[in-house]
Amino acid sequence: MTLGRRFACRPISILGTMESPHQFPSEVCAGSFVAQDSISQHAGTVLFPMNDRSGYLTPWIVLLAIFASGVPTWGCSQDQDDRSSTQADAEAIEFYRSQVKPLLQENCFECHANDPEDLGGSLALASRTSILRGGDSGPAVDSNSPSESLLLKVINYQIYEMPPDGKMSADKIEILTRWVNLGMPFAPGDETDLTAESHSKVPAVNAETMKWWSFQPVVEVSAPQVRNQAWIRNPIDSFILAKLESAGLAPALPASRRDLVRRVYYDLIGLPPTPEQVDSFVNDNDPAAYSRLVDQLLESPHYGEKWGRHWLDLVRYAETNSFERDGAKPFVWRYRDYVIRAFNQDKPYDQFLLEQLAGDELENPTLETIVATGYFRLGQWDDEPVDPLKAKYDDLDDIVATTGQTMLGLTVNCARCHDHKIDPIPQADYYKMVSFFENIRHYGVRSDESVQENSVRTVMGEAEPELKQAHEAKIKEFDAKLNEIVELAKPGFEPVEHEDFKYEMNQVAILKKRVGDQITQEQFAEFRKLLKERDELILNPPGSLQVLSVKESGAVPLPSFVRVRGNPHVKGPQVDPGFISVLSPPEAEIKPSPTGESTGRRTAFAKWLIDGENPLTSRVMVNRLWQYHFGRGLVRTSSDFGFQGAKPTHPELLDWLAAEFVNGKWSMKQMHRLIMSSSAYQMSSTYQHDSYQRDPANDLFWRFNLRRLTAEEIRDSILAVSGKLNLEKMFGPSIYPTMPQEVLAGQSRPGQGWGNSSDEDRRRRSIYVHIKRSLGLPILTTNDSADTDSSCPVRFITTQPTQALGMMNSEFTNQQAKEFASAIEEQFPGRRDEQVRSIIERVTQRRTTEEEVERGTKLMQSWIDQDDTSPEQALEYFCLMALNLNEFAYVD
Amino acid sequence: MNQNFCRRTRREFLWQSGGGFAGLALAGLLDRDFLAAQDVRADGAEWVNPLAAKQPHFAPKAKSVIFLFMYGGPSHIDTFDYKPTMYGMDGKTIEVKTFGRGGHKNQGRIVEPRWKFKQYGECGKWVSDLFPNVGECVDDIAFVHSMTADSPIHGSAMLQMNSGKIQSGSPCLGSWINYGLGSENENLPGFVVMLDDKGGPISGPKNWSSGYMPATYQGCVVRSEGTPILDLKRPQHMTDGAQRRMLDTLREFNEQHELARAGNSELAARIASYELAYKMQSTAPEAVDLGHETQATLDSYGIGKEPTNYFGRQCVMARRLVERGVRFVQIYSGGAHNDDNWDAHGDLEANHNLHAAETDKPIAALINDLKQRGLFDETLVVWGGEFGRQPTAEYAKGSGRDHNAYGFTMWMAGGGIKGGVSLGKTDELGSTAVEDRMHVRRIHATILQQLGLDPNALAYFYGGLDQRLVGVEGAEPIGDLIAS
Repeated sequence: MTLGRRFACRPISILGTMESPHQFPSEVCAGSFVAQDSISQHAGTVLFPMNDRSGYLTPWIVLLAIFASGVPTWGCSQDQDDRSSTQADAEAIEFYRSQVKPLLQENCFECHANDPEDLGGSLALASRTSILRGGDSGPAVDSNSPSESLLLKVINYQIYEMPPDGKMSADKIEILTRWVNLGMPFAPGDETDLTAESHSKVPAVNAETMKWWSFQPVVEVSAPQVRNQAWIRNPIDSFILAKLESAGLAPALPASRRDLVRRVYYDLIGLPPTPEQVDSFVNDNDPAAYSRLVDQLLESPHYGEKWGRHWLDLVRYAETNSFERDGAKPFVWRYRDYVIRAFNQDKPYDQFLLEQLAGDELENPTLETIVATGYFRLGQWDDEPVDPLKAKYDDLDDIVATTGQTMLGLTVNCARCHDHKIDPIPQADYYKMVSFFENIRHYGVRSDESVQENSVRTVMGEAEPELKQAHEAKIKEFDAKLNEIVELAKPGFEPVEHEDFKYEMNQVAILKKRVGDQITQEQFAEFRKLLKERDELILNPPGSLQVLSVKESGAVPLPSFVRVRGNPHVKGPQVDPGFISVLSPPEAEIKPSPTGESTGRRTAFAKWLIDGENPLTSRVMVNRLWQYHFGRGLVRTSSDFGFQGAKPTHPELLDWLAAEFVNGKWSMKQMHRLIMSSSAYQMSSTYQHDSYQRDPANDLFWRFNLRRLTAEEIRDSILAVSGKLNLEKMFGPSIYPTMPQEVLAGQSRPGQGWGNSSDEDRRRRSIYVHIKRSLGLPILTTNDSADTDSSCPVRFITTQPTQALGMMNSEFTNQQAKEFASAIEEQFPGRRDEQVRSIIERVTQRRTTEEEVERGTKLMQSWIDQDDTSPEQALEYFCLMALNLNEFAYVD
Repeated sequence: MNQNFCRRTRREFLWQSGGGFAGLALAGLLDRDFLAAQDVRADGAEWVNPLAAKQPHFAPKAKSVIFLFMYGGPSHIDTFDYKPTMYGMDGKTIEVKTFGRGGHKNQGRIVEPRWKFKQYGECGKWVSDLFPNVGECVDDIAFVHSMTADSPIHGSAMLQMNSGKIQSGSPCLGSWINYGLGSENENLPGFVVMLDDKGGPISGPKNWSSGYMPATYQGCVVRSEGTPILDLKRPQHMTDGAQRRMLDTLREFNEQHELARAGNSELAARIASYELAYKMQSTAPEAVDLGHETQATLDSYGIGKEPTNYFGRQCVMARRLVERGVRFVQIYSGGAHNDDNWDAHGDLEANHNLHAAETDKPIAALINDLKQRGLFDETLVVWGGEFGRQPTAEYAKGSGRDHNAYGFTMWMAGGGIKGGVSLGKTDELGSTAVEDRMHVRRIHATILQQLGLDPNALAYFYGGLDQRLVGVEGAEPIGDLIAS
């Protein structure tokens, strides 16, 4: 090995049975000990004994007895007159030189001495002082009981595995053990203290860091003075215009009414207006027409389908668990419906947060507020974890990451293994935040039943006992019938299949293999049918609704601890629930929940979050609202308001909006009205050479930003213009649009977890499409739908040929082009001019020019003349072309 | 603002074979630029082609990677990790700590390796009778016998081998490579995945996902039969001429639209993407059309014969793709569940005989073909599964072995890797790696290194962190494998 093994190894439990391998959190950050190998290496065998647990009692330990407890000091400070001591000194130093130093050099110094700028786990082994000071995991040697030192545990592969390439031989371990117990004698002049200053690099919570802009209270600012008063519709415009004027830029002209109506439709409901809707706005000369339009769309039920989706991006909403089985989350769609309804009802944002975080702990919890707590059940879940404790803390980390970034705009999750390297968030703050959620029962243990037990509640009145009994009896009946068939097939199972069969997702596949041998085709078909019916039955018990929700392990929490280096198996100091310290928060006031079923900790957290004094909650949310309206936030990094994030381009405006938001009782619709009634929002997106030269990134908002439709808007708009969009049906279990066979073929069980929906259902809006973590619908994924494994604050906008291929060639777009064409043909039979005109108008929501009509009819004619295309086919092709227009995919 | 947050200041990376460092500064710029251009992309800012060819950090040894993924976990002690002392011990119950799908065990019944080994090549490498053809190539191969991974469970272990993490959500190796280097051939996807005809792997598309990176970097499944890429084929009945005319008119409309919207390069990019898509419709089928290959070539891969036909075709396709500049091609041997892949829980012999027979000849042919065409030095071939298998039997009866992530074998060849080398050791049973243990991350680091990318510098800013394939903590390439 010439190259380094710069990285530390994984931790294993100190007192462990050596049975369970433990891993570092996957998001280990830098400068850290790291999981180089995460599985224990304890494969000692009788044949090849590798006794790694032998004690380290050696004659040298006896020598230690001459020093009182505690580590002796070495070097010049030794009493030079004490002959025996000097003798021991010399021997010890010689021991260091001849035996210890080569070992350290060979095994340790590469990562823990040679490069002071890059010390593994911030630990330097180049001096006694550094060793005692230790690194991120604490002191490497415990001066009070050296034999209990971290260093020794680590080289014995008891906590971390050092060195990572392989354990040192027993005699080498013994040498180092001896050296530690001797008090780590170094040869004079050999020591360098490398770590003295390195620990000060992390920003501390202090008067200086507390001054960061986003940690300051929101101040009520008054709008600045501007010259061009005529442009000012509300204070937003004053803030925008003041900056433009001082930069010598002028705002763009107002958008045309056609551009505006299209912008507003897409912005508020994510759908294009019909030609009639465009006309009615364009021809309405009433000065209040615009605000009426905004109001009308805010009242549309489809508003929640558009804006709820923004929230679902943030909470990384998905309907399956990922990992090997990627099983479906029961009833998760109720949470999606809750979000849609919350937006439609204009649920105040503070209430919205409170219900999601602690809807079960309210004075009077309702079905709705319990459903809201499904928030805690949206992440990934490993039903077969290598290390169950680590899996639990990974899932808690996922909650802290999502909550911190989404609601506070802080990457608290970066402080899991060590103090945050950029923001003044100590590691203890992370575990104080974890503590609010730590009593939540883990999503499940392993089986579907455990999920039901840990994460599903039955809400609403209980059914009549008779009905309930009948229901249970019926399920048992099904089970018995199913079992009969299973018993027939079982003799044919491979050994491994007995295990696999425990998972319902495997059952059909395993039984299928036995058809013709142990069971008949009919029996197999019967099994499938019965299984489906039984599952339906279980999901629909009489008189009640089942809800995916939070559940806690009782009202009395276990103590919480810092976990050293993020290793859940190594407890550090005990911590109590507490808020982010740099915000100088109050103490958390925790009262057990009224139901006595939970600790009340989540309520305390939520209350702090939605207290009007919290400087981040309101700023973060108004910034998001601004981002969704304008294409980018006043703070571009909308989930990071920390030191690493972008600073606001318009800090005063941000504060003004935040104050308005809180003063307006956290009404989001009120904020939409405010923002959309500004001149800034109603500007054209037109290019202006001078302004572009001076502010190409449009930092000052001199024009409105052109934007591409989102993935959902693209699919929904295709269905809308083809006339096939099913808008009537809202809510309920998710739908399964046709998934291309080629995509299903990528699954280990093609089709697994992707059901069939009726034609009517397949035409519903994209927000109702089933979100399976391991299987995405191509038209959505290629057009940059949100990644579901972590919070998505800003969608990517990629432009790539696979999108074009999907838009031109996919079965979906071609089918919709066909539908579109037949609707057009029906409306304008045989009248090609009118057909072209209408197609372009439906797709672009504007009037067509004669030149365009001619271009279109010429194209259709050329197909008919030169490609042997039928007129019907030509019309379909033209519809397909129209769906591929840039003008269709972009909004001004 | 501290640019070095959450990672150590990058250690000096001046190790012997690194080559030039002219591009090193780019490492820092790459993610920052990308952040500026992509993370806040919603507003129609300047469009940057994320697949534009980029400068590597230093002179690369390899241009492309062909990753032969033996899904399910081939048994190392039955293939390339010779354990002579195990012969004669069959059936003996011994103390050995194992961890597989069946949980933790402290003892088990030895299943001695079921195949004979013999020595091959000048290096005298011992290879089992499962891989006689690969055996002939050992002087070109570097074996790593001391691999370790974090999970002995397929789903998470697959994700780790592909993306470095046991949870989903992170970009895969092929995504990182395309992110770091861009694509040499814009008419073809830069990250190609080919699946076994028996099915996809567990977790399906998560194994070629771009995770938190944009979809531009996700893997593209290429099929060896029918239309190679999803939606590549024109709609039924539409002729090439009809489509061309459609695209010409589309372009007229789009240019007219763009004219009034100067300063939005994204619109031009979308126009260009249609031309690219159109070109792909002909370049991609040509790239994977084996009609251009000689009969001798096809024969050498075992094409037209069972059981090598399917995998053989994919190997030739892979060679044709890397010839055309595709950066990363991954071929799965094995699909679906249990014996449809290398996951030999039941009858070890039947399982491994099948999967080895399907792949042995094509793999050897691939190496020889690459060499013959002068492509071997610039193409890194990687072989391995998500883990290995245990020395003991999983059940009371039979030869099935459970999963083993404590120690297993992978190998690499070409692309600046030394031949005839074996590194690392497992214990005498192959139950665990004991010498020069190499985490999966080290393989990832080595692959990036050979492509001219500093594994500890190639970063993507996401979620408050500079994320890396090798973890924010980093990993060094395996220097002993790299030819100087």
